[in-house]
Amino acid sequence: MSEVQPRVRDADDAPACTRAPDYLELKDVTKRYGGTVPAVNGVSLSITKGEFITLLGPSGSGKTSTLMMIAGFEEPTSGEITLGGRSLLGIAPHRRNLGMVFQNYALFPHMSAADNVAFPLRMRGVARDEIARRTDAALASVGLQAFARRHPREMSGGQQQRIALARALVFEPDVLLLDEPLGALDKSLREQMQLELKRLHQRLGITTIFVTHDQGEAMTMSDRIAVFNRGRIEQVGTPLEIYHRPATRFVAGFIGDSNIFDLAIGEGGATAVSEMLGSFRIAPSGLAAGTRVRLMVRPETFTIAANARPGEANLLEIAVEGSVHYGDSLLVLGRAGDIEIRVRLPNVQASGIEPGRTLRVSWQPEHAWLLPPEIEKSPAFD
Amino acid sequence: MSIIAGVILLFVLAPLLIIVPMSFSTAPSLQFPPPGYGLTYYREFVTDTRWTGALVNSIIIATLTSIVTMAVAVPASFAIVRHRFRSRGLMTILLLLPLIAPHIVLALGYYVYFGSLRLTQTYTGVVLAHSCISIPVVYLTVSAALKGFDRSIERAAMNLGAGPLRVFRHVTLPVLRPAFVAAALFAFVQSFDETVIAIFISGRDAATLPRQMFDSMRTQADPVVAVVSTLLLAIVVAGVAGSRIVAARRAAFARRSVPVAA
Repeated sequence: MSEVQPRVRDADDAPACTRAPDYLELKDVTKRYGGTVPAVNGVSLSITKGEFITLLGPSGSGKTSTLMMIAGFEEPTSGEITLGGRSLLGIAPHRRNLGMVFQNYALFPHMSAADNVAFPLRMRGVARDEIARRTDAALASVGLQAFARRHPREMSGGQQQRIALARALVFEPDVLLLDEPLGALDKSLREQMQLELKRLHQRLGITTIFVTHDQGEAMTMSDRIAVFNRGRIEQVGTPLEIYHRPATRFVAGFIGDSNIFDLAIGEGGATAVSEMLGSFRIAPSGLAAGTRVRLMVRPETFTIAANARPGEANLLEIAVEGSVHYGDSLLVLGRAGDIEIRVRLPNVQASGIEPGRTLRVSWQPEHAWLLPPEIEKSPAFD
Repeated sequence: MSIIAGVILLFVLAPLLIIVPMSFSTAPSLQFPPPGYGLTYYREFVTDTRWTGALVNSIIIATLTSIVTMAVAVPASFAIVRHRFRSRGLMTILLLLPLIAPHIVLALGYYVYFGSLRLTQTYTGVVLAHSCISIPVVYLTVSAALKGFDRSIERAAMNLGAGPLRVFRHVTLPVLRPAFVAAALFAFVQSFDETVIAIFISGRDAATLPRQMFDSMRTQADPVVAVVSTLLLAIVVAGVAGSRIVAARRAAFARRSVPVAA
């Protein structure tokens, strides 16, 4: 298995004394395909060596275009991409030494699994017996030695996916690029592959860039997530940062469920006021009274009001419109004033919640998150 | 439904069922049913230089046609399917034009034009004319395969360290090979049984089998024509059966090579 480990970079690539924290760097990268709106618009991102970073966003948000520019299939219209301090621009894809797993795996249909895995080694002129040895090891590392002579069409989606992974790793690339590799798999297999990928990353320590539109996938697998929207990065952070302290309304809405209240800061900066719902306590904001803000409360932050600490918590009366059972929890859909509210309650608390009733819930001020006031840098936030 | 199918089958097969027995006939001219059976005209076919010469001509011309057509239509297919350029639509129409132009019109044109170029009665002339009419079918075959070709495997090959030439050699070509072989066979067959143009321009020196059959029918209803027809039929059947067998063998081999999953 150790055969698949990335080779330690030569001394001149990464001087030992100054282990560059930023290994792969995108500086103000823009890609225009002719239209007026760039597909990628001034993206800057620093990725450290060994990191598992996810580019997350809806389709058309620029995440895949960004990956294609890193892989070399597209050239940026402007900006710079460097790997280990050296520019990648103008370097043909086959000279970049990056391993990639494609959305549909892109296995060579006319080659056996072993020949697929051996391909990058053959292209690199590796000696015949070493090719055989490393191919075997790579197949073993994904548990598919017995399938070496099968052709892709004779393998399941999950097996093809593992072969694609072995092929992308066997030549010890500098970076592993994953373009929605789990999208075509069914749910249980996808979850299994998520764990496997994560384990593989921990074992090999290879810098990995993972593109997905699935926020759950991003949350479970990533060291950091870069959230893309309309060609820009809205926020880069750890999954917990992204979840609990989203930088923009888009991020708050895209990752997890959220309730957003449009409010104005009250006197003293520790309250926020809604004309319809009254005043809420907030964590001290330091903002001037009257500033328009958005308060995000995650559905699972609410508790039933009877359980709340009196005096400290915010109270909200919700007109229940419906509910969805998830087994372990209950999602209550309702309204407070004209705002749609989602409340997620543990199953033990969820009795007697029916449409037409009123549900009183509360939350602690420190468990809500004030979205930073958004400078209208782009019309991305509606 | 099966009655309709049966009638259609009969319509297709009936002429063949008449031709094959006639080829073994002992009658001095085409006659059905034959008065007796023998190999007289088969002997005549293989010994008469008019027939063997025509067979050789046909094979040479069809082979060269196949090569010339592939050399023109394959790059054209790549250009039109994979690139966006201004004259793309016009190019497509030009490539398909021989398909809609009546062969007799083409033949007349070649007869006059190649005459002034001294290309009539030469291999070059016939090969050029046959390549022209074969281009549409090769273009259609190859471009259909190209449209269905998943280019992400080319990207994968690039990503794995293959430059453009090696991507073509190791990935594009092998994956498209069946389409290329089929297209080349189409061009070969197109040329091999093309008659109208051959009659107009092949002359005596470059006479192809269909032309020789036509000539000999016109002059004497020679039963050797039935022999040639039977041989052509046998070749086609053998070709189709052969490709089926190869495909079946390949599938069987693929199954055998699968190790038993532990």
